[in-house]
Amino acid sequence: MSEPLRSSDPSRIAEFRLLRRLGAGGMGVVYLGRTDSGALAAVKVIRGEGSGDDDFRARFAREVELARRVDNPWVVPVLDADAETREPWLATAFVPGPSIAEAVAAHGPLPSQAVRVLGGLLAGALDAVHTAGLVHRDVKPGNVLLALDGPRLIDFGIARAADDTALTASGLVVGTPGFLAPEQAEGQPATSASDVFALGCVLAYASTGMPPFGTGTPDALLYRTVHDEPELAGVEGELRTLVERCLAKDPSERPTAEDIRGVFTDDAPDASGGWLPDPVARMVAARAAESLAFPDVEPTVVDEPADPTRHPGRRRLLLAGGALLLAGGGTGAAVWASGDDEKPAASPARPVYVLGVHTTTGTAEAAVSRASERAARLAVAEHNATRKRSYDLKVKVLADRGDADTAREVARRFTADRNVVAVLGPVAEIPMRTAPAVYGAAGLTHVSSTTGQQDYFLTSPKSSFQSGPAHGALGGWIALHAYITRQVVPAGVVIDRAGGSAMQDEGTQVVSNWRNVLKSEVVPRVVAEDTDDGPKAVRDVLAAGVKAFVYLGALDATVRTAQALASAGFTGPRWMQHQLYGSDFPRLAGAAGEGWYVVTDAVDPSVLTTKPAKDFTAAWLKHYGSTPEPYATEAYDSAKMLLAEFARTVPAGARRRPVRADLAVRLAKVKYQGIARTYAFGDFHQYDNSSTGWADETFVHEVRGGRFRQLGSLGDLNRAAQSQG
Amino acid sequence: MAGWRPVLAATTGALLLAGCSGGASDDEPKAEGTPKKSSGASPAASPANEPYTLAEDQAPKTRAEAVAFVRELTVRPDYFGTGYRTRDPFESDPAEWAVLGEDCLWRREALPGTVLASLTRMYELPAKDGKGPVYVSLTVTVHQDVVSARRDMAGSLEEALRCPGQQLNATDRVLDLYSQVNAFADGRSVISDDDLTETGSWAADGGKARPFDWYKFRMGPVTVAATARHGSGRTETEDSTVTTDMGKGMTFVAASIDSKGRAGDAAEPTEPKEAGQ
Repeated sequence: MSEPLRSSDPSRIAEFRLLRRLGAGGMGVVYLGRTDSGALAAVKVIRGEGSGDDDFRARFAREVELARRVDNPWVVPVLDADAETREPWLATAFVPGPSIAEAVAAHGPLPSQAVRVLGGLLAGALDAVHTAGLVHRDVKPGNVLLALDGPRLIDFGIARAADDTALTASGLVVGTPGFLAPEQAEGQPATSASDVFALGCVLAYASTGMPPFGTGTPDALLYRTVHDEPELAGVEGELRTLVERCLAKDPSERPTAEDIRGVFTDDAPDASGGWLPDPVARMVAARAAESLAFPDVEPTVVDEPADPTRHPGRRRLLLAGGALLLAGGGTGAAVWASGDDEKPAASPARPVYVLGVHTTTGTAEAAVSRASERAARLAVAEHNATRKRSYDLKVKVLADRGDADTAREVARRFTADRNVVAVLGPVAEIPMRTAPAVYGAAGLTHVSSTTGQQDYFLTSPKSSFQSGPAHGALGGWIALHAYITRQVVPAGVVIDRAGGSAMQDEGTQVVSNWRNVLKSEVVPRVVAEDTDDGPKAVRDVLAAGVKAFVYLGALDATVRTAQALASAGFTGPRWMQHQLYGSDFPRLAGAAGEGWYVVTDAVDPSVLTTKPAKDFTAAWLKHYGSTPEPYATEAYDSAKMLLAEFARTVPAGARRRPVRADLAVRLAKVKYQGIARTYAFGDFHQYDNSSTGWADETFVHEVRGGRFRQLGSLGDLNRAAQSQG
Repeated sequence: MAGWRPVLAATTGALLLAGCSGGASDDEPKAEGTPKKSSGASPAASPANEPYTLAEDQAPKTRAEAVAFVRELTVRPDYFGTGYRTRDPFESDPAEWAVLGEDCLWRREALPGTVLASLTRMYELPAKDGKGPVYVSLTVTVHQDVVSARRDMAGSLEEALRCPGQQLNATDRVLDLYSQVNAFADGRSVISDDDLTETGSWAADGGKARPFDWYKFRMGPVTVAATARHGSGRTETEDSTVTTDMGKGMTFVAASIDSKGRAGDAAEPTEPKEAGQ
């Protein structure tokens, strides 16, 4: 989330000692600071040409003055500011909690009672902002932080006094597509009613986990905001009525913030966090605890050399910060001023190629599907931000239903679209067994980053690739984890067939490695599908006196096993199947889930210290308001790899279209350096981990504090163990 | 169905930790990129839309009905390929079945309460032209219900994990069993409700190890299992043919049972499904 100071950073601003960088946006850099009395603060330092501009200074000073007048417990208070220095700065109280965006990404939609509390308190916050004469202009899930006693509205970075139309006079609009109001999308000034619209979007997002106008490219979002009705399935009762009113196209039809406060008269929560679901409350508490652990002074790191592509014009930087700027007289063509997102189809000379994303509907695959889509969109946005590109890229997402027929249908639709040049996916095993025949016949190259069986090769030996390891390999690595961490003890291994055929792939290797490589005792049990034999198998294995436990099954059965082991007082090492990484296991298992391991190729890049991991995490955070979710990194690597190799198949001059089949030929020989691993493909076009590198590319996560925490790669853990002798 | 599955095992094998797979087979998975045991049918053939199965209400309910059911099934020697003949003794006692003990030794025991009948028939391909004999057994077991049959399949999978080496009888030992079971719903090229394949090797009295196959299908409450103990002197391709032919023979039996359930009486299968070949 934060990173050390750089050598170019100041160590102190006024009374604030700077501890870490919290982030860098279009406006400048935000630091974590501490006052001499020990209070933490977020100190935003404005950088760039604009900061020297007299008009800017006057506006900044006025904004600060107005913001200081906002006195509401749910608005982060301004502590201090200085508009007169060379680099103006603004300090607000630091709130360590996760944003609504992060909480929903990690734990799903909030219960309606929590949304009501949010609605009432945020309406109060906005009312205070509006009363002070300000319009926030960027109310979105990423700008609402959660604390145990209620939400905090943050980021006045692009807030402007309501009577200050300097920006809008030129037709520019500031805000976040998907949450900004139709009038903003059309280039009109934002008003307090625009904030109310955005609040309605935030409440809908908190209730359903989805923005009411969906996800997608900025221009699509803007179009839908102006023309389409919001998607509010799942928002019910009084809340639904209110959200619908907030989302009225006509600003005059929306309630005021004060009206909304009157609707949600629920009592303000106490400081126990009881208004939040348990896992979110734990997340909030964990963040607060982490913030206490910030050291007072950290070593600075040497600045990376300036990268010109990351520093667009200073003027644009000033206006950006993830903000969308619309051309004044345009017809909805949107441009990301910071140059980091999808460009419009504004350049007829450039061809537009399409990256398909083949996902699966349904709850079991929701996480991998969403991560794949987001990864593809980010990769495409990055391509479209390069100035000298000879073609533009677009993302097209089609979802199957997890079965063979719809998987083939999706593949047929992608292959029939001649603009589709590569596909990320399918994401699920059955589609990855069946769709490849269609892709293969059409010579359309696709990469699946979330499957682990190689059946595809039999029907599609040229065009189909898998960028994740086999399930079986991960089973072997559970044994290796036990070996490295000196937990080689007699183990029980339960393979629950209800978890799918991957359970056998993984379990067979756990058993054989435990027995043949670790030379330890293993007690295997196989549970038949559609029976309730799991608990008995667990009891039998425990009765055999095992000291380690591996349960390979579906989520609910694994949770039940965790509870059974906890009840039995079993404290030995415990592993779950790798596909449960990122699942709801920590929440559902509660205290019984603490200490469970999962060994997977899926990395959490936000805790890595390498430059690629940090850059990627920062880009994701900026784009989506959260750190990369599980499986996002591998999907992003796969998308980037596809696009990088595709680029090499595009004929110079772009007169001819690239030949589809060329991509697969290149990919078969690729050696691609991703965020946390190197990709190469084996004889079956599977992820090639035959070299020794995989130990550094396989990660162990432990459930701790109610969430998955990355302990490190197997290589890290091995080196740590060796250094301890 | 026999066509592709060995390559899956081989693929997985290629991805294991070095040293963990033992000397299960002489397969060099990386040496070829095509299914090694393909019988010539196209691997692209799409799976049938329905598995061979037997509805629970069409299945035998009593031990007497179950014994009659397994005895009435026709299992001709040439189901397994040209040249096969029945062995002597040909059939086992349908009131017994083989059980793998804690000591990894197979013994024949009386049927448990969950099994109504189990009949094993034995066949051989006599030694000829320098090629050793092949012994094939085929066992049809009627369980009391579908759940019992599911548990039996899980048990078979567990056996290979529990005992990678198994003593078949006084002289014959099975080694390095690798097994996999796929439900029809998994979308793999499976022909029954649940297809189990095990591959390994067998050796008689310390002799040279030869390929060993064990396949098992579940159709509702009925399981059909076959083993093949390959003889010496065959090339890898010839061994593949033995395996494939055994799988074909099982498919004929599965088709018989399936059509028995549908027609309500025994019918000679004329056109077995081509799934997975």
